[in-house]
Amino acid sequence: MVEFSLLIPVWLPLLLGTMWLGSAMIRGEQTTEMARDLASMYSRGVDFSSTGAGSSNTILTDITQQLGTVTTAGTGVVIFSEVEFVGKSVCASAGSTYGSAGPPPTYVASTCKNEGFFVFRQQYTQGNTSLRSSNFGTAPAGDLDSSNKYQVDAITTYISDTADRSTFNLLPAPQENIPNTDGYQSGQPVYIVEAYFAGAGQAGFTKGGDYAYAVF
Amino acid sequence: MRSKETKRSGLRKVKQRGSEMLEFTLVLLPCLGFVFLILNIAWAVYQRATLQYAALQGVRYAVTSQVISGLGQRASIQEVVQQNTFGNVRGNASGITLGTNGWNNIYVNWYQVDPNTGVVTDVSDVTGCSTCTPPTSPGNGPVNSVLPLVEVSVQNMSEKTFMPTIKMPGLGTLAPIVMTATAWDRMEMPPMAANGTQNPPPM
Repeated sequence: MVEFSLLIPVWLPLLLGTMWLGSAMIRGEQTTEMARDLASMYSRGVDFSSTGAGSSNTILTDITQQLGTVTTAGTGVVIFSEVEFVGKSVCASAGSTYGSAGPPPTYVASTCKNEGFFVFRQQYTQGNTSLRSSNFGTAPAGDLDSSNKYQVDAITTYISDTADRSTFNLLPAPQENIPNTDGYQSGQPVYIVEAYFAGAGQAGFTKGGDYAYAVF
Repeated sequence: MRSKETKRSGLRKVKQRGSEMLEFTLVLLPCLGFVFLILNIAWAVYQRATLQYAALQGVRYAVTSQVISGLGQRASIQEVVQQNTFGNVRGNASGITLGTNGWNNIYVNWYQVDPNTGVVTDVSDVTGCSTCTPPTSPGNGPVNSVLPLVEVSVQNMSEKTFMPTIKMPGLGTLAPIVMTATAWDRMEMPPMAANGTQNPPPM
């Protein structure tokens, strides 16, 4: 019995650790899958920025319900970002002030300031924004519309405004826009969904939360 | 002639005879409880991961609009999900359900999202209507060239523990764990037919 009592302080943390690890694994897997599903739909045109009953936000609520609540005071946040690589051909497509189509395409450094960078084309956040911000940068707050959605459609804006740059660096610089070639090319959009859910709140367990992202 | 110390030691041995067995028994029960609990947690994690994988495979299959010969689209998707659960979801397309975890726990739904307003409509059981404004296609088909979303879920699966659990007096038995796994995606256009026309989406 004495030996058993001596072992308990070792066994019990191991047991609790196993339970917490199991729970964290399930939540981590759920978060990853959810981010992947959302990114797949987002990349194919589903707009999750609408709110209210019966809107696409209900799908977001349905997908995330096992992990937490995606509301302004909830336990989860989902960030949708669309970025684009500004290559020389993108600069050239904005007009002669910004570059020349070539071949090879060239750019004017003084006007096409974002050449060589990924820039935000769209970004919006659903859920509790105080929980986490994007790992890939935040679009300029001044450009948010009334529904806190950032959207830049004018090419002359996003290739020249350095505030639109993203820190996204998970893809190498793509090739220039060459007709009839495969692969990711300059000017093509990249869709990113990041999801974060605060810890499950198990007693004695101070895990910060689960974060996952998916890129399409 | 034995010394006094040796005599005392022998006496202690006689007094403690059988205590090892008693201590072993007392320690074995909580130890086995711990071991079984760890195994059960691992089993639950495995089952949850399996269900999520099955739902994912189901939705991957669903977006391609394929069907299994002799089955409708919904039943085909359910069959794919069932095949990927490695026996966790019992039953099959013939409606044979073994035990409590059955075919009916697998749900397939389609939702149409209005690209302008963002309004979501459940079109799972909507039949095609060519005279409607806008014209509607069956659940998995496009409406005004907008493809619906598909949701494949395995809901309320009641998973029993893998190993026996020790029933503690007053605490009752360990309740089964209820699990749900969901996967979503947007439908893809059906493949082109040999003559270059778009195949109609099957139901």
